[in-house]
Amino acid sequence: MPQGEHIELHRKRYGRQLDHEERTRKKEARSVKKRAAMAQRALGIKGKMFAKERAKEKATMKKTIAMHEERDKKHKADDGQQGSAVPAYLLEREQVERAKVLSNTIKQKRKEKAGKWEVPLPKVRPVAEDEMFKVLRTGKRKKKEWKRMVTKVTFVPPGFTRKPPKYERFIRPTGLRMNKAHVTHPELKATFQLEIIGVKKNPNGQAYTGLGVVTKGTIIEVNVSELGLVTPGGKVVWGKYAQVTNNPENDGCINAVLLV
Amino acid sequence: MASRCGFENSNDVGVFANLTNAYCITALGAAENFYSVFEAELADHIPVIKTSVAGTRLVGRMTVGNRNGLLLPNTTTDQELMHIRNSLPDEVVVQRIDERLSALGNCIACNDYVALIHPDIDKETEEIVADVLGVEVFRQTIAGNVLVGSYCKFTNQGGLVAPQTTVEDLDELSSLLQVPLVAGTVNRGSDVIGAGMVANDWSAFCGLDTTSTELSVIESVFKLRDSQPSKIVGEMRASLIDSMI
Amino acid sequence: MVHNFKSMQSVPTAKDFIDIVLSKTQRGTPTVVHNGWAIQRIRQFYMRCWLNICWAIQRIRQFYMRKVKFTQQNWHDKLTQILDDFPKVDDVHPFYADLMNVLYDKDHYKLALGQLNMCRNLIDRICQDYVRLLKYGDSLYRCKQLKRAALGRMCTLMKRQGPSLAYLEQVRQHMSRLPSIDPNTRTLLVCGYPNVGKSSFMNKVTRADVEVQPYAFTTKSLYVGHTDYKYLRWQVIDTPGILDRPLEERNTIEMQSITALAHLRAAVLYVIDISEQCGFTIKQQATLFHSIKPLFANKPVLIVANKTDVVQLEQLPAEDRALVDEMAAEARKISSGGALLGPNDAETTLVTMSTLTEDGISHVKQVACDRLLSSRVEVKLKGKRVSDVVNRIHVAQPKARDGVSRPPVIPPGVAAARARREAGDKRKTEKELQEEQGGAGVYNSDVRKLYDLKDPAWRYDIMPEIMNGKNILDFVDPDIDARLEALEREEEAAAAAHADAIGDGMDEDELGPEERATLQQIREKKKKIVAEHRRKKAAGNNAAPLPRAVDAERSRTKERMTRELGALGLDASAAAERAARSQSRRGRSLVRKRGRSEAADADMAAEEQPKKRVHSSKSRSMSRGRALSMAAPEQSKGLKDAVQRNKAIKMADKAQWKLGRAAKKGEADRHIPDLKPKHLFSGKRPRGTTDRR
Repeated sequence: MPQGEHIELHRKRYGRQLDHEERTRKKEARSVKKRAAMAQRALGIKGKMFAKERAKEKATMKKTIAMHEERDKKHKADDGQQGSAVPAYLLEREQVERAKVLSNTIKQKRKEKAGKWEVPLPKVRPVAEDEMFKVLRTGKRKKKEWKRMVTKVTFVPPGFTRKPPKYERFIRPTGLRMNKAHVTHPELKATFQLEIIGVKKNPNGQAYTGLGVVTKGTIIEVNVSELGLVTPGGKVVWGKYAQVTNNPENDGCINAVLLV
Repeated sequence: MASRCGFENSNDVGVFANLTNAYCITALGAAENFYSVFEAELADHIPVIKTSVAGTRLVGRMTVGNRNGLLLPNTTTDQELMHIRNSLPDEVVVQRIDERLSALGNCIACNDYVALIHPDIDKETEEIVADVLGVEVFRQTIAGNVLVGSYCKFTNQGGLVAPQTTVEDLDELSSLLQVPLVAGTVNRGSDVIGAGMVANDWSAFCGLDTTSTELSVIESVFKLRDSQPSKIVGEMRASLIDSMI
Repeated sequence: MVHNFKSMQSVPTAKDFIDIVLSKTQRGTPTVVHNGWAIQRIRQFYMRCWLNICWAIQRIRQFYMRKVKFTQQNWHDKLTQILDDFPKVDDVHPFYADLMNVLYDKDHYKLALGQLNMCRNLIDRICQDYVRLLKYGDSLYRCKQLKRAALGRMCTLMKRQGPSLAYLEQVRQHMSRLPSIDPNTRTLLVCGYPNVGKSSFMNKVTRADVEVQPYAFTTKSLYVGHTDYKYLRWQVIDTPGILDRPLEERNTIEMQSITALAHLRAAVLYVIDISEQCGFTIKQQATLFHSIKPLFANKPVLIVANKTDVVQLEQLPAEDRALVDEMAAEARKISSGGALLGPNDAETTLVTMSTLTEDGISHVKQVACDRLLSSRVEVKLKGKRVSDVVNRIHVAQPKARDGVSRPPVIPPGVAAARARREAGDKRKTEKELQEEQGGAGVYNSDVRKLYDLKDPAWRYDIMPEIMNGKNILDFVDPDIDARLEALEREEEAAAAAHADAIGDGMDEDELGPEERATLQQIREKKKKIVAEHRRKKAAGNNAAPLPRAVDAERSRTKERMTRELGALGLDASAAAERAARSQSRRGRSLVRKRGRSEAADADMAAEEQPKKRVHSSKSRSMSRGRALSMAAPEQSKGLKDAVQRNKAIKMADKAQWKLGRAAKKGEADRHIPDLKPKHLFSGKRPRGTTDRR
């Protein structure tokens, strides 16, 4: 015990208060009521936080109780009896649990048949043009309205050179440019931050693909060389497609699922 | 005997009290504690009185005096003057003087024979000091500081001056004052000696923060309780060096 | 640099931290998006609302940006506070640095702080990114989502710092309970095998209440206590016991001792148990001494043989005695200040004590302190700073300058009174009276009690301070009689002198009857004037000034002027006539007006020289002959004559001269600009620019 811990020293030398046990017991017993009072009194954000905390606690409590009860439950003894008696001539046949395998293979086949064009997000909300672009008024009297500013996140390749600003019709603001995406590998169940190589397809239209607009459902090509994926032929794969699963303009980052 | 005391949590005893061989003046405090420290020690021999000076409690800094007399600044009220006159014996001349530098305690330092005064003090005041206090008067500075009353304290037995004073200055001052002198501090390193302590020929009082080294220096230089200034160069030397460097 | 370990603020857990910051954001920023800010869809034909809409979205963006920035600032401040609070290992004294390494593991400590630092930077970056994105937010929903994402990312970052924060909180708690050891002061360091009586010695010498138990490793950390010796304060440090094994195998408890031994410049008291009751033989203890000997170099080392109540040093077997002596000899050799040791050096390196019977304890303390002090002084005297304090160990003795003796004035009986007080015969002080009578603030002490007056009965006499409007103290003078006499004499002399002086002056008696009458007249008139002045003064103090028209007295009349000037022997008829003319300028008069030229001529004739001078700016126009078309300047307005008037004009010109010189705006340059000139604002505007019409 270090020097200066006077409370501990005193406790060590002279013991606790005589009614310490009784007091702690009572305090413990009272704590439920105190908490209930608090729950009724708390308002606003405090109340919300408290309720959330309490709900979480209750849920875990229920889970634990259920786990404990699992042990005491009476199960039907699973002694390998079949649902129905098997005739003697069938007894020697090997029972094959085929249903499962079958369904798996069928699924696999169907998947293959569907082709590689199936993506995790098959449908996307169409984005109207006036949501996608903001009209900029130009000219000395702000009369002309032929310029457009993209209001969504865009990917601009590193070597991009702007047109002379006077003639540039579509402006992609630097503040909304992104070149990294958080890509989840669906089988590895792991997420990596990868560089974007290009925008493959924007479901809203070819024009957007050309502009490199990244919205929900867009297919992007990412640099997966860090992942060390290998083709059947043994080459290292470095570009792979991924589909964007969030609204990057709302979240400030691009989340995507790798298409395998 | 040197003792420690404090005035309402302040260490500056010399600000709130004035001690001479014939009387002791203390400030009016909220409680009697400070007064009683002096009373217990001195009241058998000399009058110990409480008063304000010019409405302030800074009696030690506003007044200056010795066995022969007491000088008060011209801002002292008539009531205070009368109270002081009534309390002090008739041998002590109490005089109110018209001096621009009204904190007399800061500008004048004296014992019963010699006084040091601030170089800018009036000629008339200088004469009054010589007359009323019956002393030889020298215009002096202490370690280049004009406030001689603040930066030194000496009695007929010895004296303590501010720590910046050089050895040559010490020797010169000592020959002027005809008492042994030493440079030192009070109240844990404060260099305003005069404001930090009071002393007379047989007792001294300093602030509560004074370290034991400082206290023993004070006792030896003021020759209190049979100790002699030679003790400082003798047995205390090692302690002093170690505590100061 | 001295770091205060006690004043660090507590480090919250990650969850608390997040709650603290988010609720601070909630409280510190506006919470309601006002209805009026709502964003409408922009249509072509709503173009007029364009500005309004821009303004509304701007406010929404600011609303959320403020939240993001505010949160970031809070994180930043809190993390900076933590990072500043925790001492940097490189900044503190090496003793503390090593101690921290031993106790908290320096790498771990640095890593935790480094992670927080990194976290702070990342949060700043997130804020920067999202504020930039918010600038492009075009809907309330989008702004809100971005804010949520920003705050969420910051919180996630901090949630990952949970273990670091928990570790730092532990460290903080431990650090604030570390004993406050000053590494530079005078220190006695007690070390030795476990259970040899180190803590007992500490308890005897200082007031530190260290636990003493009859088993090894009772003391598990450093303990500090203080003791006084030779007017100085000494720090005594009790260390946990050390076992004899290689450094790498030592545990944390032992390492604390080693750290203290390695870094503190202290007197080392190596305690050995000569009774061997601690479970270690003297031989083992000697081996330990020799193995940790390098740590003792250049420090005063003492071998303290403890437990002499069980066995005396003299009773030890020869080989043990030899071991002890060998240790002492070694200690003498390696310790500093070896040369300082006198002939009885055996006594100062090998001392005995018994903490049980308190035998020799104060001797041990004395020897240790003396040796440390002498070695410290020796070092310090070699330093440069010794010249700064040389005056403070110098007592200036006076050289006699004359034959006057200046004896101290000590009243008889001071010593006796002191002895009496020490014997317990104390007088009742005011403080005791105060306590008896209600304490400070209630008790009112009697200041007159001690008055030293001729007759003690006078003490409580009531003495007035002011009597008949006079301050009595002004009249109190001990030698009033002498002064009065002097004053009287002086007065007599003055009176005599005055009489002499008057004697040879004029006398009223010598005037003739005519002169006397004149004198009489003069005096009467003077009296009148004075009386009139006084009346006016008295009346005028509180009365509003009346215009002349309603002035009851009508004192300034023409008649009066004529009369008074006449009395002075002047002919005032012309003046009276002029006054009458000027008075009747307004309205019509019955008198036929004279022609202008006539009047001017008359004036000219009346006033003669000096030549009239008019304002310079007008003089030119006068010369052009237009003078007569404008009224002549008011000549007699408050000015006596042409001389005065000319002077006034000169003065006015002079006042204007500087302004003119600096080409500044003067009174004459006042210009009221036309802010909306008609020609630029009227008429139809066709297509095209507005700059030309």
